[in-house]
Amino acid sequence: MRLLIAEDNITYSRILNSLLQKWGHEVELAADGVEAWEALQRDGAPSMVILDWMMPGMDGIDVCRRLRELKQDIRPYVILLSGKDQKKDLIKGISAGADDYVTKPFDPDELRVRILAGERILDLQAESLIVMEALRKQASHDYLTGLPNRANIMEVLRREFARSPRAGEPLSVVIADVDNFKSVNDTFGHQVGDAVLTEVARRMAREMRSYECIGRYGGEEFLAVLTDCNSQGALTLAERLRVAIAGRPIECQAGQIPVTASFGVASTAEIRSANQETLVRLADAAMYQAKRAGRNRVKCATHISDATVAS
Amino acid sequence: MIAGPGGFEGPYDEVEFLDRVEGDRELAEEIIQLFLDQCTQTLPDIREALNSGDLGLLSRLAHSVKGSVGIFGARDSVAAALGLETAAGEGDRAAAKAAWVRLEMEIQRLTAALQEKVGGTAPCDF
Repeated sequence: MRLLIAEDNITYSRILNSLLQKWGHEVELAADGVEAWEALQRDGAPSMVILDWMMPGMDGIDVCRRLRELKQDIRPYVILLSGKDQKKDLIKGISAGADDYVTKPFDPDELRVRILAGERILDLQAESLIVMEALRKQASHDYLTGLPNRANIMEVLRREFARSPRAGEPLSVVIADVDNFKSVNDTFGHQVGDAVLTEVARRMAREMRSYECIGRYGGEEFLAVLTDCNSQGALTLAERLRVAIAGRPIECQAGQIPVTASFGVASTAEIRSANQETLVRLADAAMYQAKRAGRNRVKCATHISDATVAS
Repeated sequence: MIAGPGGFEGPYDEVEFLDRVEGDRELAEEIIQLFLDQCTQTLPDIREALNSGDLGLLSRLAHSVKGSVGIFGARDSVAAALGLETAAGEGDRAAAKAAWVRLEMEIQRLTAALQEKVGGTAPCDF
């Protein structure tokens, strides 16, 4: 583990440095509070600090307070080095954000134990971050297809809708709806239905670029948000998605099932007055047009009155 | 003179010091040398601070010395340094002066003993 020793007394610094290295750690040194604070803000900063209480410039308590105010998931573990006569100030130290303390002149065994306990806490912290991240992902993604879920993709749309006009960029959406999905479920059962949806999602996701986003919008409906994209670009992508799905049958336990989807496209490039909701409604209406026109095709909304033609 | 835990009497506690460096004699020598070098700077700094009346600086310097001598388990020196730190911290120049007299004496005893260990007349073995 990498530790920072923040100590202005070079004799102390030398002993601590030597001991810590002997115990197998990497050591970084800071001669005062300011140096310590700078070291802790850099990328790849040490995960544990042995901080002297009294230092010139910024003292240990100050560094602790600043660390606590930093909004970040991982904070370094702080062991405060205090003088025996400062024991009554220890509450102050812990309240400021220190995790533990060792009195000077220190007992090497005690210090080693405190460091080990600190390591354990850091491991726990790292573990819980992994779990939190997994939970976050779970909450924002569709369990079956792994795509962003409805709330997530709508948030992406909202965000891009706020950003695009400022950037002077057109925004497009594509709605994809699997054709005759109900009969797939009725004929082959829900397990096959799920497999079909998963494969459809996988094929479409593969066609998306890193800055384009597709999410599961409904049961068999998907919504793609395309930034800096006009209708032509959106139509091209939608066609690519259509071919990806219809191009070859989907292999599953029920055999090879031919699957197609209908696509509706809408862009702010064409329909400048559209707001977020209108844009999605327009794409939806265009998708229904595609269904009525025979399915397995792409339609583009050209003006705002298209939205009312929907149902 | 205050006796150490093992009934040890002297300017510093060899057992405590060696324990602090986990028995590493090379490190022990290095630390002693570092301290002796440090003293050549810190002690004049303290005299200067006392003469100029900069009690804030004086208190900080005394605090630093207290830390360093503590490494050797030099209880008398620690007490003297604490005395100076407190007096200077309270703004009592007269008390600080008196405390400095005591500290200077203790430091002289300590450095003499340490000097013997690392390069003086005594062989370098603990």
